[in-house]
Amino acid sequence: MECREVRELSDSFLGGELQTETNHAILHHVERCPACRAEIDGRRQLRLALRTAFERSADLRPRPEFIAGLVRIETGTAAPRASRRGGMKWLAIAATLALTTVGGYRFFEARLIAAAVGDHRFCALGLTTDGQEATGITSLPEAVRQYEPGFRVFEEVPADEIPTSGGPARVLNRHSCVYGGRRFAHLILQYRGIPVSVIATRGAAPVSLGAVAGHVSTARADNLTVMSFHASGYSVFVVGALTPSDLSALANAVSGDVVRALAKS
Amino acid sequence: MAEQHIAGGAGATWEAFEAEALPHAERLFRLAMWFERNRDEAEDLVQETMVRALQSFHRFQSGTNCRAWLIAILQHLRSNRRRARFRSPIVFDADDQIAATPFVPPIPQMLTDEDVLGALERIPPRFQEVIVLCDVEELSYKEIAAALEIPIGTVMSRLHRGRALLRAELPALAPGRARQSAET
Repeated sequence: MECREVRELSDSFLGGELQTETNHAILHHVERCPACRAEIDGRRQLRLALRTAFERSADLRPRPEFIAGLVRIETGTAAPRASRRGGMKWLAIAATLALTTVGGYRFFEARLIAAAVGDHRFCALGLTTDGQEATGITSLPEAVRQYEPGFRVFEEVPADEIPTSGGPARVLNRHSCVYGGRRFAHLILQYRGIPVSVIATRGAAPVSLGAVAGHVSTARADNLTVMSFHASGYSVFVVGALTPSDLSALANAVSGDVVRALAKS
Repeated sequence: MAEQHIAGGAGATWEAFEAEALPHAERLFRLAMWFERNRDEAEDLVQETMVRALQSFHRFQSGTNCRAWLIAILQHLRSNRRRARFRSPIVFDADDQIAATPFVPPIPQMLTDEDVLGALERIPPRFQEVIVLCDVEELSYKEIAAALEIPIGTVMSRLHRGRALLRAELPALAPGRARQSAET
């Protein structure tokens, strides 16, 4: 094989695109030809430099929350995107579902959900959509003092770090908020890279939740999984854009802790 | 695409998808980001690629190159979007017209990331595409041909021409600069 031919084939050689015999002919040539050896080495270095530059470039790096949020395509909700997020719609839906379930309704209305979004979407931040301080949102200790002594349990339970069989969850925020005239204890957790809500409200156990304290029921609503249980006069909901199998590890861990703590209080 | 429903995205399919496809998301994003130069566009593209991939994951043959399959979906979406943006066809293949190979300078040593990416950026997009898919994503000629929906011969001629253009764009003084920085 001549130098000209080796040069022409060298990229295909590096890409592993050639047949064994041709590879051998090139290797045989470069053993005796320093110029072609240097040429092939140079091309190999350039490929490596390109790959490394791509891997290291900060401009090309994805936001970690975008990558983490891609798991949500399974449930049909879009992954969280930088500037076009529509707020925390799931908070509203969770609260709406809680209201209707505690009230004994089997279904909740789309109209009610739509109305809820505007009121409740930024409750974790204490802001309404127009940036004003939202009414009804208080710290959990304040809610315990003024409205709902039973919420004391949720100041510490579940703990800030919750070990589950599906990985740890972390409590990011605890507050109390009002939705539809009903007061909730609301905990925002980070679990498997996405936010999950735990909301609790005082109310009689609806039939659908079952008579056994801590028994976890599952429902799907608007691409969310809602796992609920009842304990000592409180209904508790664990809500997130995860599959029931993914969310159940967290719901079971929360249920165990909350049932024990409420029984003691 | 605020919300999309996945008909078959449950159970075993999701488990397999999560194991085989999702780990490629970061590399897929880098590729999309390079082509689109816009974070929103790139995120949209990757997200839609993943949604489409999940929907048709039953068609993916286990044991074959999953990243190549995802890239093919991404490229398909890109060309659809391009077509939607420009109603008349904007890409014509000028490869055959570029027969003469330019002078090929030797590859300088000690190239920085900026040198390499800067040079790549300066060559025409259709050459960038094949070089990135071949050298960065390590796809085979056959996989590139499938992803870009062009004949394998065109892949090879674009690579040949693109590499020559890329080398011509690399800073010629890189060895001198390397020496200089070693001295300081």
